[in-house]
Amino acid sequence: MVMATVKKILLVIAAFLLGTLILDRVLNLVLESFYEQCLVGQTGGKINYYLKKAKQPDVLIMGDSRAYYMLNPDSFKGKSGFNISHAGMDQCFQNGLMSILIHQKKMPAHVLLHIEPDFFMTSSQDKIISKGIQQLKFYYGTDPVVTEFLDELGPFESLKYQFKSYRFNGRVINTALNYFSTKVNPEATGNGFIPRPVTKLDSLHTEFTARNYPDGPMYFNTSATRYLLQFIRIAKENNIQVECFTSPVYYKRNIDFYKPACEYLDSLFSANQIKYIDYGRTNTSDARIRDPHFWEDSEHLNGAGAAIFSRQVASDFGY
Amino acid sequence: MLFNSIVFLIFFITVTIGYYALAPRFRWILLLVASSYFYMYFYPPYLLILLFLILVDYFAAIVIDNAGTEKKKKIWLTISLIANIGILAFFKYYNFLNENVEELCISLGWSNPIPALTILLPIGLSFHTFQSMSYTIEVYRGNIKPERHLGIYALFVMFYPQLVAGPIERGTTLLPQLKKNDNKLEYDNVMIGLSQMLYGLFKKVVVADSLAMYVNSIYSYGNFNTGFTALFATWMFAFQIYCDFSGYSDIAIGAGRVMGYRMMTNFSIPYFSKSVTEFWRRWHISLSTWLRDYLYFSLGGNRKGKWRTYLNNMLTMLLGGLWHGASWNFVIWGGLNGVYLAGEKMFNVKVKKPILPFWKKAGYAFLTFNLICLTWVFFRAHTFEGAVGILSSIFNPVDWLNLRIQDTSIFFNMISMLALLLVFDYFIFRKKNAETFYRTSSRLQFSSFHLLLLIIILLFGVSEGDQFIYFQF
Repeated sequence: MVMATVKKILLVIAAFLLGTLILDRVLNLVLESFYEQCLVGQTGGKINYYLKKAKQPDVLIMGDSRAYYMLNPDSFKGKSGFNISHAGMDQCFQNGLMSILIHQKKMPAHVLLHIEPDFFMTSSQDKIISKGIQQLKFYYGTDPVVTEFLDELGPFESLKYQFKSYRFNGRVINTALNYFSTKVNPEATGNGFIPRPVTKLDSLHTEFTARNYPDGPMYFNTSATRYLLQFIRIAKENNIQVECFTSPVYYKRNIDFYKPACEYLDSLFSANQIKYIDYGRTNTSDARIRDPHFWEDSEHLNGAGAAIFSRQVASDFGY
Repeated sequence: MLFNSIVFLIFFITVTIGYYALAPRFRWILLLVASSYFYMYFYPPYLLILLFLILVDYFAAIVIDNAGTEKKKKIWLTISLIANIGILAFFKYYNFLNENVEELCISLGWSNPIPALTILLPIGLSFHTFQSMSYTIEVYRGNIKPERHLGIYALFVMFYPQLVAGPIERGTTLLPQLKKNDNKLEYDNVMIGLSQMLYGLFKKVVVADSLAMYVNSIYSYGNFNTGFTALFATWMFAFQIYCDFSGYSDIAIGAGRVMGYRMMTNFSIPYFSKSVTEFWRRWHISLSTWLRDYLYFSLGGNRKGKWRTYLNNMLTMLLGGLWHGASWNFVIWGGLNGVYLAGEKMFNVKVKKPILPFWKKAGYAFLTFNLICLTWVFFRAHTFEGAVGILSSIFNPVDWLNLRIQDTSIFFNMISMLALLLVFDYFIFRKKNAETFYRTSSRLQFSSFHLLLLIIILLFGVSEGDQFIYFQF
């Protein structure tokens, strides 16, 4: 009697798992086909566009939203550029992305990397595991750096990828939206830079979002240094020249808050002979950058502000 | 050990197989060891606190039962209550009281000599102390006989599915099941239990954790939000906490059911309620009935005139607020709910409304939902200033309709998963629970629904989501 029940339960569970696996494989095929056709958007679209359609540039801009929306490679005079920055992505993501581009032989010899000092400061002394790499889940199992970082997220991470469609976890709707956006305008990615539209509300938002610094103590985030060191090492091994910058902010940056990060970055870049300009500390020569009307919010310039800033970067770095 | 982790999956499978493989007389040992391991996974030393309370309540209950006089019974009940409330107060309210003493000292120009406590709150403390108290009170009232088997009693307090976040079970229902412990492996129990666990997991990792990303991003900006953004984030928090907490309860009840144990329903689609009174009959039912049975009724309930009834409602909800946490925000949260309940009694709002057209029912439900959302602002904001900031944003007319979406992909995911939850809750679980759904649907319907849930969890689940909100209480 008990054995019959056990058998029945095991059969149902096995059938259920089999059904899930079949459905998983079918969904994976469908989603993969959609994903690979995306040429627009952050969920693979921008990377696909760069890999499949863009001419290899002289300079590749990598970073988060403060590089994505604020630096237009068309402002460069003597060099061609492509902005492959992704909003919200940390250094771990940049390492994974560089590894993918190197393996696909699409990495140019010169990178302009955006550095976010925020990533080097943390309110907790616990080890911080970077999660930006999840944006590159699609490359799990095919790129060694991406696979290594994804496996570090948890002891059973590799188990989850036994379900092939897990590579699209959290990205199904975006993939579908990007697929349809690609059908409408496959060239929308352009040079990778997308300006934030100028609106009447910009100055209001800028004042609204002026940031508060945390009350508690802040600690230097050693795990962030690991990713940056790895980025520099991989670049050196592949003869890629790295230059770095930090975008300006509208509010007055609290230097004390960032002091350990600033000191670390200055000494690291100096030791590795990497040019670095922190526009959060060094004001741009163009005073208009301090006008709230050129900002979408306190950390992102709008299109008009980005045009001014891009010219400044091109001039300072000699592009 | 979090229910939404692979470690728990391995633990659950191992314990369940072990449970059925063992002879009934040994099962309590397995469950007790497993429950201890489950609890120690969070922070091992706090098991000692749990063991201390178990011993106090175990002996207190036996002495109460053996006591010849009412006075002696009362003394031992008081000892048990003081031990439970004392531990709860020490860990949970010491710093709160100390902060208020400090404020008072500062205003008087004195310095506060009492040091602050810098230790972690034992996980699930509010839940197991309330469960233990209900046991000794029931023994005192003569509703149950004390459990003389220390192992079985310890298991009643520590039963792993409901140890850290409820449901707060009663001795009258759970103890006899644990004592009997001869549940046979039944196909229906396994299917119903797994079904409930899967739906709970969907609520937690797909809906609650998606909503959390948006809510956190808005609430961390405090009053730097437009009106509709702050209101919308509060609506989303209402669903986040519902899915987080009821998801936990579903997994707990389901895990128990797979082993043949029946635990009480803790949530019954509360946001379809048409009054706050009805809401509290559908929300965290094990706590609301606890407060009703042991506090509201003890205060006199509605037997001492209408003004005393209103006062009793207020006091019960204020203490319910304090149960959640030691801060003025929780006191305000409880106070507002008390005002609503007393107000509905005062204006004779019917809990069971006569048959109404759909738009009227929807209107009442929407009004109730927004009244509850007002209380959630105090629950979610970490400080009183934070709550005031969110409320001032909501009522600030400047640029009111401008909704801050933050990340469009997170927003789209969140909205679509929330819509799916509402569809499931409205069309399936509004009139059926997990058991009736299993018994009334065809095999194809039942398996398709769960296959869909599993695929949704795979594609939309937030795998590195936060721990359950109610673990902190």
